[in-house]
Amino acid sequence: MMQTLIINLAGVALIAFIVWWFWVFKSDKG
Amino acid sequence: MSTATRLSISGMSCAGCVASVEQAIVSVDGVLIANVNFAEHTATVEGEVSAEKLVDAIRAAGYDAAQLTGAEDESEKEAAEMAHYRRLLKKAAFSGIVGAPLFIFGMAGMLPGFDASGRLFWLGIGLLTIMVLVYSGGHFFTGAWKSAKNHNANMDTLIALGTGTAWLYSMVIVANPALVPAMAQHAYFEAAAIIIALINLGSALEMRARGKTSEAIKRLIGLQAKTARVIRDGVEQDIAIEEVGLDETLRVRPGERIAVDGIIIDGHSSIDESMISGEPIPVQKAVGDEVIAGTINKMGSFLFQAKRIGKDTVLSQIIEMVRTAQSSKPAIGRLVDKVAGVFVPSVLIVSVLTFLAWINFGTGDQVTTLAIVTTMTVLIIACPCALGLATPISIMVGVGKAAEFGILIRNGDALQLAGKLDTVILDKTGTITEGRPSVASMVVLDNWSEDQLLQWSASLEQGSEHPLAESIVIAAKDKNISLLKVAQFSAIAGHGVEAIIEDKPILIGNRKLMHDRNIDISALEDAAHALTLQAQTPMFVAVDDKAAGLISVADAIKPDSMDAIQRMHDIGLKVVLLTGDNQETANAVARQVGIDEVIAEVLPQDKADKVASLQARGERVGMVGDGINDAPALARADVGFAIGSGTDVAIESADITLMRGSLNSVVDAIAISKATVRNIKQNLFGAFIYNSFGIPLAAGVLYPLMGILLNPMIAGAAMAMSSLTVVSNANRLRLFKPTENK
Repeated sequence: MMQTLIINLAGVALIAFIVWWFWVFKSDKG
Repeated sequence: MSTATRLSISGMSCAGCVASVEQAIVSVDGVLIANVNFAEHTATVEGEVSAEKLVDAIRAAGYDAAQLTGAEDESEKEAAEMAHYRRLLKKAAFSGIVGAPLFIFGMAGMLPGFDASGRLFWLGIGLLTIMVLVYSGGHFFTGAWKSAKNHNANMDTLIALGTGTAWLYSMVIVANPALVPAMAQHAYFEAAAIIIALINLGSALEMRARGKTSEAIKRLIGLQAKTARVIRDGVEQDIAIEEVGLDETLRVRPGERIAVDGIIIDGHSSIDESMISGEPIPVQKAVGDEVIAGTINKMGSFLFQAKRIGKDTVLSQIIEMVRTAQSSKPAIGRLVDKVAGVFVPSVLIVSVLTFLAWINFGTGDQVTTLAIVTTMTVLIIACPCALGLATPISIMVGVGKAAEFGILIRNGDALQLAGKLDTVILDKTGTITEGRPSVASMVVLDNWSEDQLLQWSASLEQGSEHPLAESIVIAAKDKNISLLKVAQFSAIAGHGVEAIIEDKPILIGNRKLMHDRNIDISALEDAAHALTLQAQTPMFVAVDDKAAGLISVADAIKPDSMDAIQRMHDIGLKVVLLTGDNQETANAVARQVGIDEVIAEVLPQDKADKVASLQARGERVGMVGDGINDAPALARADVGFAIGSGTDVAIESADITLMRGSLNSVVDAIAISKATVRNIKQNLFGAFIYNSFGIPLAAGVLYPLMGILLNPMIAGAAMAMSSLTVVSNANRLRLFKPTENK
């Protein structure tokens, strides 16, 4: 149970990172 | 003035890269327009900027670039491509040799398990596989890293993540099988190796097919002579054509290709200009006539003076234009690039969601394995290669194909739009007719004789550049009539000309001009009316403010005009005749060739307005003209077609130049446009279908219902196949034959 929770949190964090890296951060750069 | 720089780009593996490279180029100061062609691996950059700066910017973005200078690059490029092709094949072979036996023995259940001795075997295989990843797949990993650093993701990202995950997961099992349930203990080394083998093989095959698409350019370059025979200090010597200087004298012997554009200064010959004008019969040329580089001297030997050399020759301009058009992008292509740019990051998100969905909702011992395998498969199958290739590859083939038929298309937008036209406006003189009017009949009044009227008229008209004027001068010359001295010549645009001869004012022009000047032409009206009904153009002559007679000029209709206009009607186009000529003559011509709408008596400067008024009705208008007085209308039209015989390079003003001077080329151009756009749509549809079925299938949506799961190796093969299908489909365009009735 704990393991699944950690995996889910990690997955969400990864998605957030992808969005930030390829969209947010990129448009900040101009 | 801004200049265009062409660069060859290496390291672009997928559609996503196009956006990154374009971004890198545009960020350089002074760049106005950047166009990256994924199919050709080139970039065309317009603006005030040095090639070195561009190359630096592209390198900083993780790709490599080199400046291309001209025709000579073509062989270098070809050699480099051949070497790359062989390298890809070698990489594919190595990974195939490692992957295939593993796959076969694994299927046959002949590989050891993960007990103590088995693990040693698997460790060896793992090391062998990492060698495959480094040697055969290294470029995917470096490519992925480079683009990730630049906040981009592309095909490399997907392959690197997919195969990397496969290897890492397998190594974890080898190192400690107890970490996953017994059912899930399966190594995916063979999947990683075979995926890399298939993708490399796919790229190699794709490259091979792509090479065929640039044949049009190769053929045009093949028309250029390699050497020229110049006369320097009275001595004839063969030199490379690059060394020929302006105004140098060159000798051409029978059977030789003419090296540069120039003017004959001694001798005469018949010259085969079919490659430029499409005219199969050799043209007689004598002193004073122009010769064009790339054409073939048939009979005599002659001397000519070089007038246009290097990049300025007609042939070089044609090559340059085809090249630029091939790498240009139509609106549809720009849209696709934008989509591809966000596609890969979106796929990364989908793959993470896939993994989470399996972990949360999957049941059974194998959940972890299934989660990893489906994530891997999503990454592998979702490559947007086919998406990135779909447009440029078809444009390349379409533009090249058109060039073969003497149709020079300026850019992708013109190619895309030509097929969507619903109205075609045709200019009369030089477009429907031969454009070589000749004096057909004369009517004289009072004491004038025909010869005298011709003498006065020709004397006046020698100052005019209008084709009708020229015909009068030629008629006088044919009769050996000497011309008189003319004073105070002036042209009244669209109406006529006037001057003073022997102290008397003389005026030649149309009915409107005579009315404006209050000259009574009632005695000529009946004759004029009868002539216009025969599609002739009467020009009234008044001397000393009194009508002296009329000269009627006829311009023969091109033999294939009627047929071409019929073909335009057949494909549903409305055909409009737009001319400065009088209404009756225009009607007569329209009747003869079967045109439905006539707009006559339009001044050159008003032609563009007429085009605009048709556009205001919501029609998409193509304008066909001979490119000189029609230039504003050609520019105003959605697609301007210039009918040029190659020598008068009307190339600049139009979107499409028809070298063959036949209206059939308009229909052919439209047919090629339609075929190309259809081809692009097929490609895009294919790519879209592939991804919209492939990704959910890879994610395992069918597994809970039907137990169907996509093997990552199948995904790799499907990905390679999708690009290959797009390239093959585009190559189908090469078989296209636009004209059925020639």
